[in-house]
Amino acid sequence: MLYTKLELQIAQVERLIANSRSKFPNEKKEHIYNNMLLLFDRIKISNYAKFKPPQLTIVQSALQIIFYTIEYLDYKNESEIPKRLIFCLNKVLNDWIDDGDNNYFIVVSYNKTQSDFFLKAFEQSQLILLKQYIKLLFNIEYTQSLIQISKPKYLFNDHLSSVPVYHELGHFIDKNYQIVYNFSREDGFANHNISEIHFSEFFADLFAAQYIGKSAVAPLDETKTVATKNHPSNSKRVEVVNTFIEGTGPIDCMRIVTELKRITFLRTNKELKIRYELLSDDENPFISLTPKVINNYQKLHSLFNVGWQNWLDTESLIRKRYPLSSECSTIINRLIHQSIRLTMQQGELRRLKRIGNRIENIASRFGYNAN
Amino acid sequence: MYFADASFSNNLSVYKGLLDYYLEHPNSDETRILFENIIKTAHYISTGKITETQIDHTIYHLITSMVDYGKTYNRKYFQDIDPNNIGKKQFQSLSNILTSLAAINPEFA
Repeated sequence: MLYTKLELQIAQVERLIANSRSKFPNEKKEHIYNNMLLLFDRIKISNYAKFKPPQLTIVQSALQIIFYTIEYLDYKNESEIPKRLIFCLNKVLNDWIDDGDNNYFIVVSYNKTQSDFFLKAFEQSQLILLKQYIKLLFNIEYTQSLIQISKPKYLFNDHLSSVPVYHELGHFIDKNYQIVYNFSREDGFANHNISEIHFSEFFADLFAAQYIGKSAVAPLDETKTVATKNHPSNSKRVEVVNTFIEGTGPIDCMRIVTELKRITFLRTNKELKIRYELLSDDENPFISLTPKVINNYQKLHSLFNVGWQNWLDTESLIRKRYPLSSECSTIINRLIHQSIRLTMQQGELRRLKRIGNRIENIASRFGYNAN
Repeated sequence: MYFADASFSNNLSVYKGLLDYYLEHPNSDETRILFENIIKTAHYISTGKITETQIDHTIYHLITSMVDYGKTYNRKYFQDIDPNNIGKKQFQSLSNILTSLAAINPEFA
């Protein structure tokens, strides 16, 4: 690549920066944004015109990272951000990647479909390379990388329809640790008569089911029994998830679950297991139909599952109280949304109290007593 | 994102670019450690001291592509390496191996 072509890219990034949000109420976003600005400045003053082609390619990548990062951090107002969902996904990320939410930052963008979900992010292998390259070329630490999740725009606050994001995060974890790929290279893999792609789908389903139970496959039409090249049949996916949750099922499903558990532990040293905890009656917003504070973050994911259970059960209290589908789904989403919000607020309060206690302790050591 | 969409061939070219740059500017301990680990892991897998499943996920694709079944020449090379004595010569050889991988991967060049 000629460096002169890069200069057009530099001009485009400059224009984007001029037209995008530059102040953020969120400290992490501010930090990521400033990191991108600094990287951009370093690129501009670097000796890139004399770089060799491999280094020019990295400059090109770095400029694209700056472009997309600033673009995805740009939003008109706070209400556009599905903070509750991101909060839950960060908990998942930290279960699987050490210091996950310090190395990654989840952003959500919107598409105009009804059911398209996808995720883009650097795997850790790519991040390490990129960080080192950037450090060498521009003497700057590239700190946090984005995980970009795209979901349907008009369902942005619809928690029932958000369950596929857990599945997409599963694909990311699979690729990051090469779980199914490694499995596919084992002797005897072909004996399963299941393609690598289908195993990847089963893995992502089980990954999601760890947190949100059977609701991981609830949106699927389980009457569809035909597999495609890219996906196992819906009926088989539901069957495999049921087997995982219940711990028993048809022999072929048990074999899939057992193998995926085995290879996941081998590659990640972490277990593929049920990670959600059931809500107590006091925490279940669908019993009193009022939002609840959940005492344990691990239980937050269960809200999605309980929400789906109440939606699918036409005899449930909420379905009877709100017989109109549109009204009922709105109320279910609101209960999930507000319960997560209350729990987040409670967590923040506890955090602030801890900070207050620490400050008081320090002050008392210097002989100051607030009372 | 360009980099996130990168196929393995692009990723491989990044390894080679980084290594060659390091060889010209050998002033980063982090980069030296990265490539030392790559060479040591390739040695351990070629000598059967570890299995493929035990390769660290951050260098898995690179290692398996270098010492995959059938790549007996590379396996032999890594077998004979002294993992406690890795220096510029071994880094240079690694760079050559990455170049040879390019020959079977047209997107790499």
